[in-house]
Amino acid sequence: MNKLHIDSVTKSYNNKVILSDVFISCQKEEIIGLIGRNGSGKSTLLKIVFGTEKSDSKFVKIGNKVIRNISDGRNLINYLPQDNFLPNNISIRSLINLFLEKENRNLLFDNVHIKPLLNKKNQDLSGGEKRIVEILLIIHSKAEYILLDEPFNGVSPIIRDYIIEYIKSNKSSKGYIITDHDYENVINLADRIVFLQNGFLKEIKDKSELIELGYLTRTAYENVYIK
Amino acid sequence: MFKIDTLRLLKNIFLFQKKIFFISYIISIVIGILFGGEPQIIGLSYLFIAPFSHFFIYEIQNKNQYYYYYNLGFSNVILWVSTFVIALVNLLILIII
Repeated sequence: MNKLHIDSVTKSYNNKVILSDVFISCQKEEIIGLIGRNGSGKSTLLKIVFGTEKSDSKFVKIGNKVIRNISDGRNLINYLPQDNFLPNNISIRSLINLFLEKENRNLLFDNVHIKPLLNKKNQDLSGGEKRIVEILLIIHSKAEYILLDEPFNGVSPIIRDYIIEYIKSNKSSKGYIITDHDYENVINLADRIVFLQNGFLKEIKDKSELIELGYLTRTAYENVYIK
Repeated sequence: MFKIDTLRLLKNIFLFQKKIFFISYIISIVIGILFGGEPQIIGLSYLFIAPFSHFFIYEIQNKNQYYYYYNLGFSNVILWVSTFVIALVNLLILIII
């Protein structure tokens, strides 16, 4: 099984350490929830792994293949950015044909949320509609590991729940690293939770640690996890 | 299988270049007409204007759309090279004509 191995990720900006010797490993069929406060470097870390952000040092490997740049990661790592990224002036049907391999296209053509959008163009979709198209395209790409940066950004609760269930039911052949400010859903979705603070990554064994780390207030924790 | 995948990737390069091509070509034709209307002048204008269009359309206006192409495995270098290759091929065709 090809494991995603991320090691020695270090990034400084204006003498401020953003990431300090970060290590994560992810296996297929595993969902890792990456949480942290605003500006803690979550998106920066995902972009460094994907290859679109420079770092002081990094070592990313999938199986035996070292990923140094975007081209190395073709069909191995895909990344959902925070903001919409699909080209305009082209129908969703054509985008599916261009982005996905033939065997995966019907999964989107037959999807209840995508079907009504097939003949529309990206710029004519609402923010939530764009997001679900993007997420499904990324999930059904050939990549073995999927990095999702704020997948629930701008989606309605019903679509958010659909996305959560969809990721759970499609994790058999892929590994996921997910970050979102909707921490409840990230925590509930993830098999493992890692917390990024002051450049260091810490694995969370018990959710109550998030109070000590200053990520959750005791009231918020009790409201969500002790009912 | 390899051929089908290569064809799909090429179509994506054309999708990326479509906007650059139309804008650059209109400007190049106008410049070409202003400087005598020779096809070679249109080709040379395109060679210089296409990189500016590329920069304006993707680096300034639609920077996030790069992620669509990054997810297909195209790096910035490949996308910039495609702009120059198309401009050079266009110039070559117009010189031969």
